[in-house]
This record gives sequence, structure tokens and C-alpha cells, in this order.
Amino acid sequence: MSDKDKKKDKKKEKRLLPSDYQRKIKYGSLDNTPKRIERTQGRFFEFPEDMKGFPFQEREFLVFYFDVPEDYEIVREFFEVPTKASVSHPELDTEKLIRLVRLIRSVKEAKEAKARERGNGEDTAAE
Amino acid sequence: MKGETAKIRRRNDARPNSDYIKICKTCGICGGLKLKPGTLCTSLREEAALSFKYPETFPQTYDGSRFSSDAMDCAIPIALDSHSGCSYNCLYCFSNNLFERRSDPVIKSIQESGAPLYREWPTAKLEKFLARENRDKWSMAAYTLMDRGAPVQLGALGDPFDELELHSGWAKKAIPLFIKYKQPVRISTKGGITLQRKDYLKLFEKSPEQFWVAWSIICNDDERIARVDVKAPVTSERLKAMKALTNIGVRCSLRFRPFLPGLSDSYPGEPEAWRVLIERAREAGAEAVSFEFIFLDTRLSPRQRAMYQLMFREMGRPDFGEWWNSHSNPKETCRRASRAIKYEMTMKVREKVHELGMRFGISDPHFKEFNDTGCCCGFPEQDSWFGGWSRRQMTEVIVQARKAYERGEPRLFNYEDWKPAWAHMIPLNNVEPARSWHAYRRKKFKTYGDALRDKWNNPLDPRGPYLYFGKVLVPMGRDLNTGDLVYEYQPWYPGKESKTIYRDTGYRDLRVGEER
Repeated sequence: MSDKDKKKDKKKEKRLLPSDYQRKIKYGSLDNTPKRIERTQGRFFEFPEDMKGFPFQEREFLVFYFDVPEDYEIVREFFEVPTKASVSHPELDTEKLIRLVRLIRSVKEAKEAKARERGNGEDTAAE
Repeated sequence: MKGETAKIRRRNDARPNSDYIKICKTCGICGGLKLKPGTLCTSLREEAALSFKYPETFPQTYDGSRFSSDAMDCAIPIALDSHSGCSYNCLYCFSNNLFERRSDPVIKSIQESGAPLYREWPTAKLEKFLARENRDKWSMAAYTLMDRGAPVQLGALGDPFDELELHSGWAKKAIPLFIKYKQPVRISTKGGITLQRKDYLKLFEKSPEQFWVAWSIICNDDERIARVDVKAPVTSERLKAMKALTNIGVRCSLRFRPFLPGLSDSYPGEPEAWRVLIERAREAGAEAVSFEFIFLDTRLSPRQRAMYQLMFREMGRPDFGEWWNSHSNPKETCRRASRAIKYEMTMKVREKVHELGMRFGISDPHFKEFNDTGCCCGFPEQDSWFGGWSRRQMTEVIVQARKAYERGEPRLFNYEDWKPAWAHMIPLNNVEPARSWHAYRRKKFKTYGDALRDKWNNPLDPRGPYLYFGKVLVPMGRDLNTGDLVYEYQPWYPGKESKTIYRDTGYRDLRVGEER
């Protein structure tokens, strides 16, 4: 057989005959196939006996309580928290909260820096 | 409602109803409708006792071969039936729903005109099937199982030794064919009268060990069982026939299902009826017990609804339906209540069965992990005729998962581990008929195996392993090799259900083929 024929032969898909297929089928036992498992976080879990000090879904979390219903509505609408789910704890827009906190912090820092600069300017002018 | 009441009144005038006075005290519905006590029961009993005239020969147009729709967790998924129905009118039986698409007036007109209601599977076609001569997809898939020695079940829908059999003699031609083609057969029956007859016992004598007769008996008391298994032979007749069969070498087991509280466990005068029944079955030669609590179908024909009502009254619990449903998952079509309700009785039966040296099988998806083997009929692991049952099904998965856990070597399962090859050879519509043109179009390119895989990968499906087995097989991740969910075994204990939290919104991320 020439090299060309060999290459052609390699390219040919091996067709299974009905008898081969029959031989491959087995009903006598279960398999134990190798598995690459991607663990799901928080889909199913045993609720911890004591929640205090336990990481929730292996993530940090915070809980807010609102005394005034209007405040709750403002925050809920701002973060687009859906409440129609049959089970509570839908995925919150945590990114938005982080962006907001960072924004506020940067504004606050900028204000402080400005105030400091002003203070320094006044001091030098006085000297 | 007025019309119905008037109809019932007319019946009430015609018939005595003193039989039902005791039950009336607990029920009270007739009193509420201002009817004579027992009126409703009388009219319901008329429905249950509905009978049809048999023609000289049944129309030979029935195809009695199919894969069981419970094949997902069944070790012997090939189901054969001699006729298109059953002459017994057991109050709980789903075969009454054969009339689902036929309204009551249609059934009545068939009954009055004397037209044949039942059809028969020609034995010539059975022989063709057993001789491996069929070339259709269904048969080719079935042959892959049968060639490996898998037993088949006879009497999946109707009883193969009922009045129809005595009228037509189908089994007299079929049993020799099973022997000729060396096909192990598990027969499910209540035919205690037929199987005591010498001409029928003689059929098995040539190769008795090739047959396994599972006797459905749910109550130890003859009078009570006659009111529930309407027209079927009573318990003592069935046990006599079981004894006669085991004497000639046919293997037998007790199908203690459906277990009806108030009838199967105890009743006035017999506080331990379940225990006595198991002992009597053992004496008659039963080597295994298959156990299952009742499930209540939600897709009821008017006739089945009437029969359920009558059954609840016979159980002495007219409100049983509402109570049972209130403890069930409302998404289930077959309502099975909860594990907590059934736990104590199931464990008692299991202990008793083991005490008598029998094998315990449980076909109730709740506690299915407690099967002795992966076959809920109670077949042994090793057996020359009945050891060839299919291991590629979910009962084997849950049993092996439990055994591995108890050994201290927990095992994980994905779909590939139990994928049944036959299921991928047949169209879905072949096993689960589409009930509408729209459903047919949706399903027509799917195999039954595809549907099984979908169920495996959807923990919210009532027929998926998570909910179906009562939260014992728990999905713990996704296998990146196949994309399927991976399940692990977590033992059940009373109170577990309230502790396991399933987050409804997250499951979409786990669906096969979707990018995360």
C-alpha cells in the first residue's frame, strides 16, 4: 500500500456494522466515567445550623434592614432588585453597589483634597 | 349539580344501600346533599362494576408490545400485554384511564350496543417478535436487551389471567412460545382462579423456572379486597394459586402495592394485617416482596374519579385525597405525598421481609435506595434466568450510590454512567405519546434517551432524579467532559426536606449547552 493510500485509509471514518454496535452495548453494569467537575456554588446546600460566622455561598455578604418602606423602595428600584421570584435571594446587582460606593468615596476624597488644598492656600497666604 | 343530584336520587330509590351506613358516619357527604345514607357509594359502585359483553373472538388488532413509560427506573422495561384492557375493575388502577379520551356516554353506548371494547394481540405477531424477525426501531431496540437475557414483563396494563383470558385462551398459545424462544417472563397477575386450573398449571411444567409470577395483593381480608379489587379473585384464592405454582417450580413474589392506609396496614379486628399478609405469602412460597405506597393520578377520567372516591370510602378515609395531595409536590402528575409520611411503615415492612429471609424491593421512588438489588421486582443479582435485568436505569444508580456511601466510598454519577443504549434508538413519541399535534412537532426529532437526559439535567423536573427520589440524589456540579449534571447521594432523615434549600433562580446556569 502506498503512502497516499495509507493516508486515505486513515481519513476514512470507521463505520460500525450492526454487529459491532451490538457488541458495544452493555446493560450488565453501570459505568464510572472520568469526570471533570465544576462545582456549583450555592445551588444546593445544607443550611448551616448556626449562620453566624459562616461564609454564605463562599462569598461575603451584607444584609440591610429598612425601617421606612419608601427607603426600601428607593434602594430596591435603584439596584433593580426583582421581588417577583418565587424564592427570595435573586442575584443582586452587586457591581452597581460597588461602583456607587467607589464613586461616593472618590467624590468624598476629592472634596477632602480640595478642602485641604484650600486650607493650605489660606495658610500660605496668611504667612 | 341539580341534575346530578336528581340522577343519584333516582338510583337511590331503586337500590338498597345499607352496606354503606358505617362508612357514611365518617364521610357525611350524602348527609350534606340531603340524600339517603350510602347513596353516593351505591352509584359509584355501579360505575366500578361496569362490564362489557365479549364477542366470540376479540378483534386481532392490538399491538401488545411497548417500552414501559417508567423505563427510566425500571429493570425490565419491555412490557407486553395480551389485551387492550383488563376485566378486573380495581379501584386504584390506572388502566381505568384507558377511557380517558372516551366520555362516559361513549363507554355507555359501547356497553349497550355490545360492540367489542377489548382487542387482542395476535400470537402470530408475538412469535414474530420473539423470533427476532421484526425490523422496526422499537423491536431492534428491544432485541438489544433480550439478546442479553433481559426478562420481559407480561401484564403491564391488564391482567394476563383475567376473565378475558378465560374467554380467549391467549396464554395457552403464548406460554409455549416463550418456552420455545427461551424468553424469561415476569408475569404480574391477580388471576387466582385461572392459575389454579390444571390446564393452566400444565403450561408452565415444561420450563417452570423461566417464569416469575408477581402476585398483586394489597389486603389480607377477603371481604375487604373484594370491594376494592372489584371482580378480581380474593386474597386466599391468589395465595392458593401462588402455592400451586411454587409447588411446580415457578418462582413467585408478592407485589404489596399499592399500599393503601386503612386497608393494607390495619383495619378493625386486624391491627397487624400487613404482617400477616407477608407471612402468608412467605408460606405460599414467595421469595421477594415488592412494596409501594399508593400514588394518586391527577389526570382522571370521570370514571376513575368515581372509583377513587369509592376507594377512599373503603379505606375509611373519605378525605384521603385532599390530605394526600396536600402533602405532595403539586407539580407531580402522580401524587406521592412525602417521605416523612411513609417512612415508618416502609421501614417496618422492610424489616419484616428481611426477617423472613426474603428480598425487599421497593418501587416507590421515595426510599428506592433501600432496594436490596437494583431491581424493584426483587430479582436476585445472580440468576440463570432472571439475573439479566438491565442495570442501566436509575434504580440501580440510586442503590449503588447508597451502597457506596455506606461503604465510606461515596460515588458520583453523570448521565453517561447509566445511559441506556436502547433509549437512544427509539423516538420519544414511541414511549410517551404526544397528546397534541403541537407536542408531537416539538418532540418528533427527540429520542426517548434525549428526554431521559433532559430530565437528568433539570433538577426542577418532578421526574428528574432530585425531586423524583425525594432529594436523596443531589446535584453537586457539572461534568465539563459531558456537560451533564453530576449527582451525589445524601442520605435522608426525617426533617431533611425543610433543611435543603434549592434556589429557584439559579438552575438555568446549569442547563446543558448554555454558556455560563
